[in-house]
Amino acid sequence: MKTIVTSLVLVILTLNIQAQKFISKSGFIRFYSYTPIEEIEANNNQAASILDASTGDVQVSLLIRSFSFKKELMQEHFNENYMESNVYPKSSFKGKITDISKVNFKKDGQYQVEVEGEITIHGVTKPLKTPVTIEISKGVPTAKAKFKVLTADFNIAIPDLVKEKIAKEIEITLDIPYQKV
Amino acid sequence: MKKILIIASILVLIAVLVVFKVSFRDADISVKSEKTELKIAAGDLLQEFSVDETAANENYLNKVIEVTGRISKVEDTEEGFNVYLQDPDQISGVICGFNPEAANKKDFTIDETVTIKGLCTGYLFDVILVKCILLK
Repeated sequence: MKTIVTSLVLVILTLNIQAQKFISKSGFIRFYSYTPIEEIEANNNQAASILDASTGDVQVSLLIRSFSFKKELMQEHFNENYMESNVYPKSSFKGKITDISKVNFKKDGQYQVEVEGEITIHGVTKPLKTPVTIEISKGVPTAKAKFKVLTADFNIAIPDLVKEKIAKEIEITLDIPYQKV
Repeated sequence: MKKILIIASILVLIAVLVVFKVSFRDADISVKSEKTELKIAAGDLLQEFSVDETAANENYLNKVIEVTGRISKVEDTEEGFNVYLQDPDQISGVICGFNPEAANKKDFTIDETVTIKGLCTGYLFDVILVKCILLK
């Protein structure tokens, strides 16, 4: 009887850890464009994300106006012309880490997994599939990823005048430290 | 005549350089030099966004505002830190993003009530302000 109870408690405890949801409100996201003429970098330090450790479901959302740039003019163009942030104030991703079972949330280390879902930028939603590294430290994950998107895919209009200064492919970097909910 | 022409050319050149320099100036790291457009309590700001986000965006998005609230958390970010203004009975609040050159993390104590000036960028789970400064 005692063994059954102990085993049951252990099973429940294990399930509890796997059923854990994690949240982040200070996720880091960088948009980076490189051309031989100009390098443009936009940084966001308030991305929000929820990760479900048992299902692998993950959502990320961010505010376009929260991106900071080195140059004032770039920030204006980004918001007013390219992203039209008054019309589309947010950008988001909704998907699933398809091989979440690879991650042992109780064991510190780095786990290479894959996330699949949909990304919405400038009001346009497109499928996205990309590798993600989940770092576990003291039972808490941090998700890191780097991938590219095409501005044309999201109806982002770059005027001819600056075409040489903005890359057709934008590199997006994610670094999201989570906490237990 | 020639003298006037030379002076005029120099003036035009200076004007062009000034416009050029101003156009390509660095973005401010905080809203310190900007005019406050309105003042509000953190709880009230959150309430407005959670009840009607569209209306709240009309009123606050891209505006420089002063928010007063109780500090519930201070968290490091990749490039600086976020200060959370949240009432004890709430699950959301106002997140204020700081550049490390604009404020000192040590100036923020949990449970302290402060007034923070920043640029409102919208609402996710919380209302978010960036380019913040602490008002004494």
